[in-house]
Amino acid sequence: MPVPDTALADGVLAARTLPDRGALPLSVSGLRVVAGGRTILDVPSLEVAAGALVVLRGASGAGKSTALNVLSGNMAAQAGRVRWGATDIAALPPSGRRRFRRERLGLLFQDYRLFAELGALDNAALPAAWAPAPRRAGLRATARASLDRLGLADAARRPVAVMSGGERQRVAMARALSTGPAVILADEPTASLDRENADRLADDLALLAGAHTLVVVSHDPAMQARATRLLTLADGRIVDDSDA
Amino acid sequence: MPELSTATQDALVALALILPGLVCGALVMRGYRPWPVIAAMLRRAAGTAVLFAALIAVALALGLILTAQERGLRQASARAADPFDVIVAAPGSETTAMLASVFLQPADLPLLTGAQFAEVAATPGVTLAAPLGFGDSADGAPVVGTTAAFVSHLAGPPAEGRPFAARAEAVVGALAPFAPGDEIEPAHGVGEAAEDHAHEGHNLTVVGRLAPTGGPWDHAVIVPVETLWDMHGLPDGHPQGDADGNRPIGPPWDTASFPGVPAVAVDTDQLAAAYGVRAALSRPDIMAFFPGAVLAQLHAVLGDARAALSVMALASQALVTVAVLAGLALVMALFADQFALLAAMGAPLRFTLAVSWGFAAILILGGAALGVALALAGMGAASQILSERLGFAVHARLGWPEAHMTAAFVTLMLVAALVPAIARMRGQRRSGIA
Repeated sequence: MPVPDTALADGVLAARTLPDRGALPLSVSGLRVVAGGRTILDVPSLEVAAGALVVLRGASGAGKSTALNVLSGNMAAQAGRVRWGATDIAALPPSGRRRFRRERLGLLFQDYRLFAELGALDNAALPAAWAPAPRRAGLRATARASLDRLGLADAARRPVAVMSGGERQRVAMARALSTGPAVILADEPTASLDRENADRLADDLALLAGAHTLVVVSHDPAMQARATRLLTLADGRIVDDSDA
Repeated sequence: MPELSTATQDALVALALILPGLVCGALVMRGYRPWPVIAAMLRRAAGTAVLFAALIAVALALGLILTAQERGLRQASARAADPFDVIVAAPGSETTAMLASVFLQPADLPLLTGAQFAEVAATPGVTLAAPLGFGDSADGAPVVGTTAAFVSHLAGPPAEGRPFAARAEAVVGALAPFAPGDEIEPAHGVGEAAEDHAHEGHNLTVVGRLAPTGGPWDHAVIVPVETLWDMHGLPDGHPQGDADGNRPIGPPWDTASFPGVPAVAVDTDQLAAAYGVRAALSRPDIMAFFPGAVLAQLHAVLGDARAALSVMALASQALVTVAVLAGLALVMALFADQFALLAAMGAPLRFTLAVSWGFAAILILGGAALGVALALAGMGAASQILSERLGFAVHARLGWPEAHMTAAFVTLMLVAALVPAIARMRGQRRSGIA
């Protein structure tokens, strides 16, 4: 896959200068999530290599968001294992899953989920609010560096409320990167963006592959085109698994 | 061990009262820096936040003003009674006699005879025995008859003009609606029952204005007691006139032609003498009392009322607390998306607690600061209204009791704010990304 010349081109190197704990492989087995007596996710087996960019696609209700919630530990499965590296987050208590999320995971959302009243840097460095005191300065520095490399160097203090959708999603990406995560999970990250910004974001995410394992729920053909692997879900099952 | 000063003790009590709130805050916030999140939430719900802070402020300010005014009232009334060592009157209600003499409240008192007055004046240790006559008024101001010596004892030399020296002369209190040079035609009686022109032909000329005393006498028109007797067609205690045939004022008075007075203000040279006067003149036919002691009894009653008012103030503060906390729980629900984000990002549960509690703490501390400012601003107005209603100057100030009340209120609210914050934290145990 060609490497596009984007604002994040230098960011890959930057990401490797962060507290780099390496991308984690994913291993899922016997995973089942049942809600209201109905199985909404059923994944007997799935292996994802560290550093892959996996795109999940499927019709509405296929189980994509449920899959992201289970992979992030936001939702507990009734059965099965979800191993990120050596850590089976399905076996962890809620506090352990929280800890895993804040230390190893970065998240991107379709609607950005930013604090509109705060500036870009305060949003990007949000994890510093609960990080141990010795790590705070480093987190802010990483967030600032990410903003710089995402083309928001002059926007650190600008309130997110006055930013465009593309700028907001880049702030959200800087936030996801601020903790130096091993895994990035994204839920329709380009869906609220215009074509130009969607392409740019897809490029930026693609550049993160290798240093991070990415699982992205997306219907965007541009995003799917940059994936190293495409998984298609239907009725909670993986019905198609193809390398891109 | 050295004894602590009162101020130090008060400061320690205030510290002890605020400490639980501070400790609560330190424990909740320990290790986190949630202020950017809280600031964002405050900006988003600015109107609601201001409303809650205002509710807290008003509840606290009312409590502070109430307690400070009550204390100011007690201090002012005690100050007003200060110049009156002992009051002697015919047997009856000490309270009524005290209210009539010190606070110039209309009262129908039996009279002391000339012989009784002479006995009072001759009691060992008495340095001043001044007859006090009441019952008339001028433009709403009470007209009081007494002696120039007592006026001097009460307020010192006049701030303007001179003391009265003849029966047609008067001096006025600092706040009376007259000035030196004014002509006054007294009315018979006081208030709505006052009869204008009943004392026609007894016009008075104001010759002096007294310095302010802070007491009810600041509103009075003070005349020689003989003037009052003249106005009512009574003998005046001076049957012969003076050596020049003039009509004198002041002591000594002839016992037989002394028409009687409702009260006598007595000053003594020593405290022991005052007790001696009270002991000597406390009999079935005459009573002597310390107005300060009577006032203390009234204050005790007032203290009970204060306790009731304090309970009501605390109850209203508690109600506001409950209302604000219930409101905060609803406001927190408005931030469900933000809390869901924090949970999704793996923020510790206690961080959620810190955000919820910190949000409430800002409102509570802001509201308390605003409440103290409101109380300071409203204190002057409340004192003025009280002073006008009571006829003597009430100067209320915030003191240590109010500092203690504020500290207790803040701590109570800070601790109570844990309830909705913990509820929010528990609500965050499960949260999804999408």
